[in-house]
Amino acid sequence: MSAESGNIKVLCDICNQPIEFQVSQEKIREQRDGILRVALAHGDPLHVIIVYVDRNLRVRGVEASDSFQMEGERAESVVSASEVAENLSEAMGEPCFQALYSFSEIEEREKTAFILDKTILRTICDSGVICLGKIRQKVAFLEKALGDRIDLPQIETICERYVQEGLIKRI
Amino acid sequence: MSFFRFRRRKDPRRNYLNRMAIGLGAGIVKARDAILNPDFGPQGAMDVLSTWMGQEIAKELLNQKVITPTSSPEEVLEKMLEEVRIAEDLSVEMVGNTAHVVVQNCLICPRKVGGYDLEGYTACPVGGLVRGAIGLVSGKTPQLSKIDLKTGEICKTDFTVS
Repeated sequence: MSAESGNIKVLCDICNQPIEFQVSQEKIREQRDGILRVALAHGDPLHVIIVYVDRNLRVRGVEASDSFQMEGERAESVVSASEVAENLSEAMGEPCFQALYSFSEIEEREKTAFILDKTILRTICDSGVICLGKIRQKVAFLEKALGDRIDLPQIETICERYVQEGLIKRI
Repeated sequence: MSFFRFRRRKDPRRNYLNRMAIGLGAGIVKARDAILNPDFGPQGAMDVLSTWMGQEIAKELLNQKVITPTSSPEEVLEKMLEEVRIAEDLSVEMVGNTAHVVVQNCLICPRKVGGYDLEGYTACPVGGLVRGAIGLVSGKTPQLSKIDLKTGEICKTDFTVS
């Protein structure tokens, strides 16, 4: 390992396995915002984590996605700038939420929840990991149905309540 | 042969059913794609449609000057109860920005009052009525943080207006 690079170890939220990889300071310096996004595809079935690393080689965040699709042959363990990575990196600076249960496991409990809340919860459960902006896109159809604007703070409040209730977690 | 012609003047005191029908019609059109989605279920469809009905009732309450745009959420609920009689007993406890609404002896429960077998589903309009009415009057959409329905017994709804 050179002085200009470092080994980083993170835990994958999907398979619970430690994943180790190497990053170079040079690569981090090239990033406009000083944060390097590393997409690591691994496991069987194949899934991806995106690790955000700062200039001090500190891990600023980890996102996981188990819905990974790739055109052509399976790549080696490190996938750079895949479509999945791009989608997830859109979430930089935005809160992301991860489902802790499948929707079918909590559907009965949420049977009488208001439709907006239930749709947000279902969206998170169906997505695995999703950022606030993407949730808003997916529930936008309810704006017309309810005759009301659904804004990000409103969605975040609902997500935070589900975080407190232990159904999802903020990442 | 017989011929009947009924002519009645508009009676503001009896206008709430008209308003609910207007809300129902508008809601069905605006939400036509969403409510056909099986994920919505009966309660989801009722949430959406009753939101529109709640807005229309609030418009009528404003028209009749029963409430004003500065009325508090408690006042809107109280007047709605008085005018539309959705329940015999409805209490609102405000804790900060959160209102805990408890409905007892509901008069619009499709199961207890209507006598219909709801086949294990719920179709309660209270959450939507509250959201629609208070949202229209205050200009801020209330967050319905908890809805606990025991059809025909005690139904609890918590909402926050911030």
